[in-house]
Amino acid sequence: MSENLHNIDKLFKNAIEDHAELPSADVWSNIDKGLDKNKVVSIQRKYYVLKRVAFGVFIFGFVASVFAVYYNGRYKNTPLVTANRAGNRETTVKTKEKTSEGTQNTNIDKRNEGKESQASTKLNGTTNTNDVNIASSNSSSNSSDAALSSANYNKINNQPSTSSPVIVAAVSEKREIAYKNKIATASNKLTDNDPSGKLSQRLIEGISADRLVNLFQPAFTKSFDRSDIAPASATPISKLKKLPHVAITVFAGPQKNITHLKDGDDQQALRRGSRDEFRHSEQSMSSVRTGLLFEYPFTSNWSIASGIVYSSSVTSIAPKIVFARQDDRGNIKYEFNCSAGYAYIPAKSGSTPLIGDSAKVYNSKTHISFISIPVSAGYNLSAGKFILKPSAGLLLNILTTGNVQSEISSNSMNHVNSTNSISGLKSNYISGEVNFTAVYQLNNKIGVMIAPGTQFALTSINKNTSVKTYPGYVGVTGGVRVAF
Amino acid sequence: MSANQTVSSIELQHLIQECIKGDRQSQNRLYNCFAPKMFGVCLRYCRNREEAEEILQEGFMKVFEFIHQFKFQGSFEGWIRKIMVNCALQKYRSKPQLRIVSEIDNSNLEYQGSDDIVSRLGTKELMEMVQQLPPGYRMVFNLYVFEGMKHREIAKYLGISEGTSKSNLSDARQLLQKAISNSLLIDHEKINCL
Repeated sequence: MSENLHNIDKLFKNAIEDHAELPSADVWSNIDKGLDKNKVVSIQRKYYVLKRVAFGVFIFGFVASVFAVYYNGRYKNTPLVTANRAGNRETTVKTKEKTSEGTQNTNIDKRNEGKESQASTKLNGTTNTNDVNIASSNSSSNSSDAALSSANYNKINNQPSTSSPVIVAAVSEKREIAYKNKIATASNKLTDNDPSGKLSQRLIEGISADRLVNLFQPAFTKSFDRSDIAPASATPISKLKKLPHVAITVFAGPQKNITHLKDGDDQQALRRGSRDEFRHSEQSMSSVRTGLLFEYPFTSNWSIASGIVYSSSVTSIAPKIVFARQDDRGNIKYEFNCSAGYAYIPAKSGSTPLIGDSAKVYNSKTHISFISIPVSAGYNLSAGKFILKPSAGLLLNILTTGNVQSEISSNSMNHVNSTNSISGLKSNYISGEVNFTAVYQLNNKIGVMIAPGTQFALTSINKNTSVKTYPGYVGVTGGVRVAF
Repeated sequence: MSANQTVSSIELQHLIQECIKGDRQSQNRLYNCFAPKMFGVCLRYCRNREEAEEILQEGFMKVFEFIHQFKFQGSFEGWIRKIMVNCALQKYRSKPQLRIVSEIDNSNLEYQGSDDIVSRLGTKELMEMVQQLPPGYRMVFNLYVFEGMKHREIAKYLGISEGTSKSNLSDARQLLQKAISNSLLIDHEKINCL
């Protein structure tokens, strides 16, 4: 009998192994149509990475153009004076050097008409001088005040009193008016205490220019912070030497799932489903992201950020047939396959399926959440009350929840099942992110932020599965930023 | 690389390279070369012709999609064949299966020389016998006899136990033997009538 049975194998193998038969012509015409369709899909896949890069470039381009428009709009009417500026900033701040051969020819004329004071600085000559010549010091207290203030003005503005045609025009008109008002206020105070003007004169004669400058400096430095004064050269306003503050950002927001599926390497796992199957049967229901970021500036414009982020996504799965298989412990359960991995669903208590038994699963959904540790670098662009920050970085995502909920129907009986074990799901994966954060400062410390951005997996979230899943998200988060 | 009847080894290599580039004419030529033989493979795994054509179509779609992954090591025909078998298995798994409970009557099993049977029944009839096997049995029989897989591999491939694989193969053999006997008996009766 056994011999006969083996010969049956041989009989069939010899008879039909090389059997060839022509299929109908429809098969090729269907393949032909399918190949056209696939060509489009393959092009889409081919440019998948390119699309992401393009998206990143778009974000940076957008930021750059917004800033460029803003910057040009703000300073297009400002005559930027360039001569003799370079290299003088550091030396002029101290106001100590005096050129040996310099001929000082600074004439400061001050007209104080009521509350509105008008200061004009006329500069002629050929060499630098930081010493202030108060030409009109003996004319009136008001004019001496103006001279003092002009000296101080030069100091605060880091402008050398150069003999070349330079300076005052570099300050916008608006700030000049504010500055003049300060002069008027200081002048009036001095005049009130010294109606004859003698005290003022003595003061001016006895005190050096440096000392005089220092007298008024606190008031002016408060009003004319560096960020409020046009820079000496054509340097953008964002490139300030002042180091930004350490900041904490709390954020949250919805995301759109753009998960990418690839065929897995494990050919044995093919029975667990294909990429196309999962793509058609699974649909993202909701996805959210929330977290806390610590921002640490390491230069005036560059900062690094890290913290903790929690992300959660729920995916619904279309009804499907599942088959009973042996799980890792040898128990026979229904094997539920999804793009994340596979889970074993027990049959209703009291009944044990046999291997190969099938059942239909309804209303199934997967819930996957991660705790992520991001490290990103960003470039801060300050523009008034706005801080714009394009950033890019990496995230280490640690799996916290992998849950499958399903309603299984076997033998005309339905029961709902939930399992927290999805096999094939890795404990962690690495992803990249590109964000564009815009912060509006409500005051010096607190600001509100909005950050459109994208995250994309660099490694798959699963292994030993029929498909490799690379989750990706596009979303907008909003939050509060507190600077310290 | 085994040369096909109509295409030499070098030609086949050139054809594959053109297919990688996406040349439709070369794809058509490759299809014409391998379709008849692969259709024979598909027929073994399916109950009828329509189902086999569906698998053949799906299989060739995959062949053209992943042809760039062929490393030119080993048989190209074997590579295509493996894809067809995988497609057939996927199809099998996508349908709900009922467990077979069949009683096999061993009383009438007689073995005759294989050459004699082939000459009397013909390839087509033997193919139909395989197609008439229950799906689970058919899969195990095909994988064991034609693909040369061991029971352990079959069990892993189909997600069943090794014992089930052995049992299914044994049942498949007995069903086929019974089918052969019945067929021969009918032929014998026809001859007697004449």
